[in-house]
Order: sequence, then structure tokens, then C-alpha cells
Amino acid sequence: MITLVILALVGLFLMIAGLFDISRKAVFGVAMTGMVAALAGNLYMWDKVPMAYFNRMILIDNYDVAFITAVLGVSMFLFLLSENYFGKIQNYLTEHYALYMFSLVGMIAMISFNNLVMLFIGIEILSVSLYILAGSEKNNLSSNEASLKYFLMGAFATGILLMGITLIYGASGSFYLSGIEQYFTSGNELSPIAYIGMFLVLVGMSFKVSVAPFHFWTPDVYDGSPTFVTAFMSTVVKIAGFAAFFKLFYICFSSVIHYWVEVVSVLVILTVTIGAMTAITQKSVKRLLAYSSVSHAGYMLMVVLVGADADNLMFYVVAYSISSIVAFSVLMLVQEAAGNAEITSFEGLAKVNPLLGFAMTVSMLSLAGIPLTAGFMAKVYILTSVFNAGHGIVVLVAILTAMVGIYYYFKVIIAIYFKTATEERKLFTYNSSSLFKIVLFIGIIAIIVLGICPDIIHNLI
Amino acid sequence: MDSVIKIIPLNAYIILSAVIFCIGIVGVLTRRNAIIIFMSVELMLNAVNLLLAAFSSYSGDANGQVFVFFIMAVAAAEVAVGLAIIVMMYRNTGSVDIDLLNKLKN
Amino acid sequence: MYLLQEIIFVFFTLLTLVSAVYMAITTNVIYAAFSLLLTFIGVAALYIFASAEFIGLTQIMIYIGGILILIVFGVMLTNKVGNQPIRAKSINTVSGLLLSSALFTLLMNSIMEINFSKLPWIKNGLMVSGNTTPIIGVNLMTQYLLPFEIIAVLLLVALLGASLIAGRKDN
Repeated sequence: MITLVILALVGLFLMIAGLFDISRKAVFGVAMTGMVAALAGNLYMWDKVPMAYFNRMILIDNYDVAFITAVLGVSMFLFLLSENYFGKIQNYLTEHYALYMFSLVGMIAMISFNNLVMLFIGIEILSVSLYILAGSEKNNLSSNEASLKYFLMGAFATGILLMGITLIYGASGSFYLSGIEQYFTSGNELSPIAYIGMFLVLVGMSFKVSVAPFHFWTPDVYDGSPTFVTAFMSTVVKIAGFAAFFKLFYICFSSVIHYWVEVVSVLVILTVTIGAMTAITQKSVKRLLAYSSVSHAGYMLMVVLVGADADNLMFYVVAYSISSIVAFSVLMLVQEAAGNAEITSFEGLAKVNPLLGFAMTVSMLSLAGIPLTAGFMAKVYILTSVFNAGHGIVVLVAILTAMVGIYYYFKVIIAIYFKTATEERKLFTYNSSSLFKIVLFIGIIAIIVLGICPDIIHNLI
Repeated sequence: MDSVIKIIPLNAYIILSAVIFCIGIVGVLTRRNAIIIFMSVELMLNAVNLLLAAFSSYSGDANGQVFVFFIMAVAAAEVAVGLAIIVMMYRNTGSVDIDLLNKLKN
Repeated sequence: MYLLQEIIFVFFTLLTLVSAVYMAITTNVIYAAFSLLLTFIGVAALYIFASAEFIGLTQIMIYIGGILILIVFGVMLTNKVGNQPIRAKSINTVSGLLLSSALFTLLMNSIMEINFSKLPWIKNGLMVSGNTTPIIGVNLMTQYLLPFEIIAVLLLVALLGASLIAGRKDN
């Protein structure tokens, strides 16, 4: 609760600060301090008795504290890379920062919700901020398109989600998670509208977290948005989305799992397959990362499929986010220097700048799920639990597509190490400030440490 | 008002909002003008609101109507942002056709 | 006995449906906006039939007074009204209709199966009688206080975002 209040106040403070002429460093400092304070307030709640606030509108237990920590931690990590992105914004700098703070408010409401009203409002605050951030490069057609597509698809998904919530309310007579859970566990015959409601909620949430076949907006939106916003959407927002998705299904619908387990397993199979197959042909690293985020969403959805083990989800999102952020930070620097995000721009990177080349390689290995990296352990945990739950086919498809994945992630590594840079590209200076280097170092170390001793994060919740 | 509720069965409301909802979906899927797609989304939200209000009245539970209130507030916020985005796009491309963007990019 | 009420109900239902269908198929954006107006009015009347008077009036205020006006502004800002109205064609008509009618059949099937008197809350609960406005007001300020406050953040984000995006000053 205190986390939510702190972030909202920091957002307001930043907006007011925009009236005065304050330096970029000060704005950045205020935002970071606010996030640190929010994180501290959040960690204070760890291992306390679950607390309910405001007539049980939100309820905070260890699950929520863990995921809010992940969201705040990853966004702080990402903000360290924001220098170039915010540096380009000439006007309304503080307003952009405020939008990020408000989107964090939305995510926290979404993670710690205990009533569907809070879930709905959290999702909306997050989405509305993202529509704007996606379109923040106003003169870039791709950015405009990203914003418009994201907006139209987001509003459509909201409509479907709301219809689902309404039908569930019609059947159960409550918006509280406990009331809905009671209805589904009561053992009475369930009303048919409850099933349709469940199905529509599944579709609506799938849209929001880009699960196939509802992912079609993802490549354009991720590709068109400014790279920093793409990194934000594919890491922080995904964590919040899946935390809410899992919580809703785990608490409310796990007692009727036999009705939806087949649908979800089809969605999982489609997502990992389509994500991997379409990534093969991509020539742009940014688009490749967009499709890779679709196929990773498939793995996260597997945790919903099993309907247990929030630990696995936590570990997966952390491992995925760190690997992605390292990849995106290299991408941002290369894009800055080369002017585009094509794979060819990465050729010979290892010779020109060994640190960037190595960082990109480690993150690609982790995203592909090669042993000794965090990504490998994350996949092992999830696939083991899926196998134990008796979904052999899902595991088989996941392993096959992971092999396809190795192909396209290695395309980038080969470009970095085995191709030579053109003369022109050898002269590029990659404008990596010390903050970038710190993030890359921490990221590489975290990927390897989590790959060797995953118990640091796993089994926490 | 009791009597009016009793003569109209709840089924009528549910069928009506299902029909409006599906019309909205058809609009979103088949139209290419961003503003009309957006109007269709509003239609879907109206269907949801109507159903919520009906459920709420027939069960004697005001929570559903409070939810309608929140949905309306959110819809108002969404329309402001959405039209801003559409206007921004029109300014850059001179059109609000969502397929035209793909052509312009290539 | 209740013939008059039934006729009025059917009238508003038809008004809503016909104008909704027209909105979804017309190629003239201005006509679409005006038929949306009729839909909103029809739905507002139906709220009052469902004894949600407060929601009905809010519908007129927010949807017609706010959202629709904004949409009409949007239409006027983006269509060359002076020249010729921009025609908005449809695509994917067949697949869109198929998908939607599949969903519709699914919904109808389940609705027909429901025995509403069996729903627990219908069995126990009493229908709303009298004015629901005070109950909504009390609920907003007690049980739903947190969402009520947080929606302020959403409105702030919308204001901020709309002016950031639509403002002429470029980044």
C-alpha cells in the first residue's frame, strides 16, 4: 500500500517539478529515489501477516511483495540505461518520467488486487500510460502506428475482459476473489455463463500479455516503439501481466482446472511454436526480440497451465528480464551508432567493442536456454513442473521449439564473433557511459550466478 | 419500479447485450477506419455496462452499478487518449485508415 | 396489463439494435457517429427499465455529453468535411462475421441453458426496489474508496497523455 502511495506522490511531484527549471540529473535522481523508497516500503511487508487494505480492495502477501519487488527492481535496472532515451526528449521531460511512475502505480494495483475492480483499473492505468509512451516519438510513423495499434487492440481486449468479468459476476454475484473462489469451489453445478466468462477473461488477459493467437499486435508495437519503451514493455509490463494472470487463475479458477486446462495447453503450444517459427526469418534484432518475447510468454503461461508453483514464474520472469535488459541495452547502443537494428549492424561487434559483444552473447545464450545461464535453469524448473503435471506433449513441443530458438539466437552470436565489420562500422564509437557498463556487468554476473546457484531467488515465496 | 423489472425477464437483457457485444466485435474486426473501430469498442463497453446494471438490479446488489460507474470513467479517459493518438496520426499521414500505415512504412 | 411498458421496452431495444447495426456497416463516419448517439440514448433508456436510474442519467452525461462529443470532434479533425466525406470501407467481412457469429452462438447456447432461478444470488436476493443512487454513493465512499481514488491517477494520466500526444510542440 505504501509503495503505491509513494509512487503516485513521486509522479505528482515530478509533474509539479516540471513547472520549474530543474536539471535532468535532478529529475532522474528524484525518480530513482522515489523507486528506492517504494522498494523499501514494499520490502518492509515481506513475511508479515497478509495485510488487507481499504475493505479488502488490495491484499498483500509474500507473492505480491515478491512480484512488486521484481517489477520495481527491473525498472530501476532499466532506468539506469535511460540516459540516451531521456536525453533525446527536449520538451516535457518530467511528464515522461511521471508517466512511468503512474504506470508503476497501475502495475502495483494489478499485482496486489483482491477485487476485480482493482485489477481492471490497474490494467487500464498501465495500458493508457503505455499507449502514450509507445507513441512518444511523434514524428516517427512507426511509433505512431505502434501507439495506434496498441491502443485499438488494448481497448478491444479491455472490452472482452470486461465481458468476462461481468459474466463471472453474473454467475457468482461477487467481484471479490474470495467470493468468486467460493462460488467455484462450492461444488454446486456451475452456471454456463461462468464458463463463458472464464473463457473471455482468458482471452482478454491473453491479449494483454501477448499470448498467441492474440499476439498479432506485438511485433508491430514492439518494433515501432522507442527501444527503451520496448524494453520496458517486454520486461516490466510482462512481469506485472503474468503476476496478475497467474493470481487470478490460481485463486479463482484452479478448482475447475479440468475445464480450461486443454484450452490453455493449446494456447501454450501455439505461442511457443508461432513465437519461434516467425522469429527465424527476422532480420532486425529488435523484431527478433519481440518474437522471442512472444515465445517466452508461452513458457510463462505454462505456469498458469500447471496452476501451482509461483516460484517458477518468479524465477522465470527475473531470469528473462535480466537477459532481455542486457540484450536491449546492447541493442540501444548499436542502434544509436548504426542507425538501425538489423543483424548486419552487429557484425564484428566483438572486435570493435569486446564488452558489448560478450554481453550480447551471454544474454542470447540465456534467452536460448543454454546450460550454466539463468535462462536454462528457468526453463528446467518450468518444464519439470509441466511434465510432472502430466502434459508430456507440451514439454515435447517446448523442447523442439527451444531448439529452433537456438538457431536464431545463434545467428546473432555468429554475426558478432565470426563476421567482420565493414570499415565504416569499425570506426563506430559506442557511446557507453559508466552506467551502461555497470548494468552490463551486473547483468552478466546475475545471469551466470543465477544459472549456477538458482536457489538465491527460487523457493523464496 | 419493481413491477417493471418483473415484466421484463433478465434473459431479455442478457440476450440484448450479447447481441450488442457481437455487433461491436464485428465492427472491430471488419472496419479499417480507426474512429469507427473505436466506436465499436464503445459499443462493446455499452453492452457490458447494460449487462452489469441488469445483473445488479435483479440481484439487489449495488456493486454491479458501482462497477458500471468505474467503467464509464475509464471509457472517458480512454477516449481522450485515443482521439489524441488518432489526431496525431492524421496530422502525420493525412488519413485514419489503419492499413494505410503499413503501406506508408514500406 | 403491462402492455404499454412492454411496447416501450421493445421500442428502445429496436432503437438500440438498429442504430448499432447501422453504425457498424455505414461507410460514412459522420452517420456512424450519429447512429452511435441513438444507441447511447436507447441504452440509457434500458438502464432506467432495469431500475438503474442513476446509471441511465450518468450514461447520458458521460457517453453522450462527453465521449460522443469527443468522437465527433475527432471525426471533424480527421475528415476533410469541406471537401468530401472520407469513405470508410470494410475488409475481412466474411471472417469477421463468422468469428462473431460463432461467439454469438456460443453465448446464446449457454444463455438458453441457464435457469436463472437457480442462480444462488437470484434465489436469495431481493430485487432492487426504490432509488439506488444513495446506495451507490455510500458504496463509492466506503467499500470502493480505493478504486475511486486510484481512478484519479488514471484521469490524470489521460489528461497528461492527451496533451503530450496531441500537442503541436514536437519532441
